[in-house]
Parts: sequence; structure tokens; C-alpha cells
Amino acid sequence: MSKLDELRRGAAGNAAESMGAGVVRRSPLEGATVSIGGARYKDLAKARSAFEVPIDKIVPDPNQPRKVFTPEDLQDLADSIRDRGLLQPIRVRWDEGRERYIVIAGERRWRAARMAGLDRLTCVVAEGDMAEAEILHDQLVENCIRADLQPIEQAEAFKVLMDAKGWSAARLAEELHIRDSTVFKALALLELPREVRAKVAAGEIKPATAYELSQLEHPEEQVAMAERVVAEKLTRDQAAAAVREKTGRGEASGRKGRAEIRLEGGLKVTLSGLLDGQPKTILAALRQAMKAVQGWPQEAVRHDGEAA
Amino acid sequence: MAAVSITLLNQKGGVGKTSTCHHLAGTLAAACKRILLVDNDPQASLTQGLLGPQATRDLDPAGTIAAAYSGVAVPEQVIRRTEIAGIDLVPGSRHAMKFNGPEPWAADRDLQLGIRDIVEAVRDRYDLVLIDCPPNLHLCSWAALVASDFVVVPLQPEDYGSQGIIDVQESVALVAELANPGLAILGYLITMAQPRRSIHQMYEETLRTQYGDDVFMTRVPHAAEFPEAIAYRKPIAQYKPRGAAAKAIKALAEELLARVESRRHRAGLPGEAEAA
Repeated sequence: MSKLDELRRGAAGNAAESMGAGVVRRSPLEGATVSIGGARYKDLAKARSAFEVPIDKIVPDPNQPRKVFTPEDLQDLADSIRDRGLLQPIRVRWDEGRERYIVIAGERRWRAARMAGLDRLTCVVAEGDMAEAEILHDQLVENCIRADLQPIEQAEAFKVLMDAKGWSAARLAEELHIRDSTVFKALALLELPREVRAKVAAGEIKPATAYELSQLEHPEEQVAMAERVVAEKLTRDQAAAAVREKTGRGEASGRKGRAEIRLEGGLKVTLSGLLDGQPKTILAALRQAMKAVQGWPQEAVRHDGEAA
Repeated sequence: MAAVSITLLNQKGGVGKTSTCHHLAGTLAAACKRILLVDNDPQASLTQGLLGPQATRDLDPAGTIAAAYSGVAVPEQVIRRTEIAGIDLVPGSRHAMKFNGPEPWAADRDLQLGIRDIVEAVRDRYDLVLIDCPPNLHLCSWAALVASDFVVVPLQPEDYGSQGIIDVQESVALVAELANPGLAILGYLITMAQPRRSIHQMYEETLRTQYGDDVFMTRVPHAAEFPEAIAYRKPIAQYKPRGAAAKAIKALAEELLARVESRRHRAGLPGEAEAA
């Protein structure tokens, strides 16, 4: 027998086993982590949380305040994206349950990118478990900064965030770096009847005008006045005047020395000794008065005919 | 057409991974292919065989494979020309050692993708990317597999060389499952073959019986010219183009390209001619 035959006889089985014949394959999976050491590499760094994500892996967030996208608007953006690419990454988070990336901010860009036929988008992925409210906060902050949210959408979003975080309107304004009055006016929109809100959403009534309508006592009055506003194309000032007529509320006359403010239910506030009839002078006096009253102990109010 | 990326892998050392990378690159470059060599072994033997040990040690890690693993690299930072026309190199570095951890499937994403990111960024500048790996199946090898279309497993026709096969197959299967579904073994390559030795004949027979067409028809013979060429810091085709050793590598190169072509055809991908 040749050497080769001997080997075939006696050792080929072993050889085969070494090559994997009949050996059970196992997956070596186990958990561990490796940490990256060293920071010698200066200047350039890749943004670690930025990825190119296939567009089908991205879905809109059901909680997103922005719900209205006009086709023309999107088309412009889509054309721009087609020509120049998506210049600004969108912000997403991974949803394990849905196995998709959910848009935190940038839904409009995402939609436009789809229209433009992109199959991948650059995304910044928010790390960690972001609570719903924080996500909304992020979205709101971004959207508020852009200042082109529809008024009712914005108001709804304010409310959601206030409720989620337990914030007062004043606190919300502070957190978003906007004026108190912006928040108050927005919230007032939410108190309006559905028909009036629809008119605002449709652009038939301006939010500022709608705010004036919210000063009316009864919903039926608000609806009726809203219809009047639309029919007669009233401006905000005209609407405000009409509202004052109806309620007699807030009617104020001021001149040097004296101002009178008529309120609901026959109530009247009179100021005397004023320097002039300017609203800010009157307000300053009223604030002082409020402070003074706030300082009074509960039962110390003097009623006519009753001892203090 | 975008480059094909191939990892040379065997967890057994000394089977000819680096040597095959080196000589194959030279032969392909001589045939006017644009080659990117990636020295993914912290030992950096491939780099030393081209630049010399001193120059290799003097390299700023920011310009080597180490930078790819730390996630900061921009391709231009880590790719350099070599003295061989047609061959570019991502140099290896001992500074990559610390990244080469075990249980690579659980490693930080940036580590796993370090090589892929570089390769993807420059795919259209080359015809082939050849990645040399260390003799183990830790993070560096994993990252190479994540970045590759194919794997070639060099082995000597002896027991030690063969023993590496199973673990390589498991790693390839795992990478394909977790990170790179297209990954496939292009073939098992017999290296340092001395066909007159019975033991080599027996092992080669057994290998071909076991794996059939998955074994390259071409064998790389044991030949003195191979290490000589490296001593001159040249691939065989640039050192002794008409010798038997160079012919063997040429045959290997042709078979490699044919296998790649055939796989792409089977996968429904455009062939070289169609995609041009």
C-alpha cells in the first residue's frame, strides 16, 4: 500500500472531521460589550447618531401636532429636495414594537422627500426611552420656532404638553420662550364651539378675531357672531367692537383724571386721580389696586351697613 | 461598477491570508484592476510588507485602520497610495489591537461598521477591495465580514489549517444572520501546497470531497519566490512576473474573478460588461 493509501485508510476520517464533516454547528452568541478607548483622533468626528435610513422604515408619529400639509407647499419642498437633496436631517426615534423609526420632527420634510422619490433619508436618531411628553416637547419646540403651525393645532399641542407636564399656561410660555398672551389666546381658541374652530382651521376667521369672539358669554352667541364675521368680513377690531356692544363688557372710557370700566353683571370700576387716560396708566393703577386687595385678610372687606 | 469586497479569513495563523492578499493584489493591479487593500490585522504584516516595519510603526494612527474603528475616519484620511501602481492601502496598526474584542456581535455599532463605512464610501473608486484579517474571529474579523460581499478561506492542506474551517463558517453564518445577509463564502483556497507530499494529497482530496465546487481549482503552491518577493517589498507579479509562482497567482486571480462574476450572475446582479 502506498503512503497515500495508508493515509486515506487511516486518517481521512480525521481529516474530514477537522474540516467540519459531521460536526454540529452552534451559534456562539452571548452578550457582552466592548468599550472604545482612546481619543487621539482629532478634528473630525462622525455624528454617531446620524444614519441613512430607508424611507420605508420611517413612519409619522400619530401624536404629531402638525396634521395639515398643503400639496403645493409639499411640492415646492419636494422639488427643492430633488434638486439639492435633503439638506437638513430629520429627527426620529426607534419604536421597537412597530419596528419602525418614528418622526419626532420633520414630518413635512419626510413627506416631501417621499414625493421627491428619495429612497433613503439622513436621520438623527434620538437615543434612549423618550417619554411621550418629552417627544412632544421636542416637536413643539421645533414647530413653535418655525411658527407655521396651524393655530388650532398649536393650541391643542399646548394643551397636551401642559397636561402631560402639569404646567400652567404661564409656565408653558416660559418654557417655550413665548409670551403669556400667546398661550392664553391659543387656549381660548380651544374653548370655542366646534363650528367656530372649524372656521378658524379653514382660515375663514383669524385666530386673533376668534379670540375676541371667545369673550362672548354663550356658545350660541359665539357661533352667531362667527357667522357674522365671515359674512360681513369683519376685522378683528370690528369684531371686538361688536362683542363689546353685546356684552357691554370691557367698555372703558378714560380721560385725564377719571376712568370708568363697566364689567359684567352691573359691576363697575371707577378710577380717579389719573394722570391721563392711557391704557397703560389705567393698567398700572389697576395692578396696584389688585396688589392691595390681594393683601387684605379674608374677612376684612367692609360692607355697607356691616362692621368689619 | 462598484467594487467587490472580499475578506480573507481563517482563524488559524500562518495559512497564507496576508501572503495571498499581497500577491493577489499585485497580480490584479498588473492587470489594470484598481485594488484597495485593507490591512485589518493589528500585526500589520501586510502593511509592513509594502511600507516596511519602521514606516509602519511611524504611521499616525489617525491614518490607519485604527481610525476606522474609532468612528472618526473620513476615507481620505486612512487610504494611501502604495509604490505599486493600482494598489491603495488602508494601513494596519497595532493601535487597532484594543478594538479587537471578543463577542463582536454585541460590540458597539460603530465598531462593527467601522470598515463597512469606509468601504461603502469608496466602493466606486475600485474594482476590488481585499481585506486581510488577524488569525482570530474577534471584532476585527467580524467588521471585515460585515463589510464584505465574499469570504475566501485560505488553508494549508493539513490538519491545523483545516481546523479553522468550522469556526469561520459559524462566524460567516452569524454575520449573515445579524448584519450582512448577502455575505457568502466564495471558496476555500489551498495554499502552500506541496503536491508530492502524501499528506497534502490526502487532505486536498478530503477537502474536495467534502466541499466540492466550493474549493478553488487553483492551488497556491509552496514556493520560495513568495517570501523573497515580500523581502523586496513587492508582490510576486512585480518581482518575478514570469515564474511559476506568478503564474499560479495569475490563475488564482482569474478564477477569483470568474467566481465573483458567476455569483453576481446567479444573484441577478449586473455583470461587469452589463454594468459598465
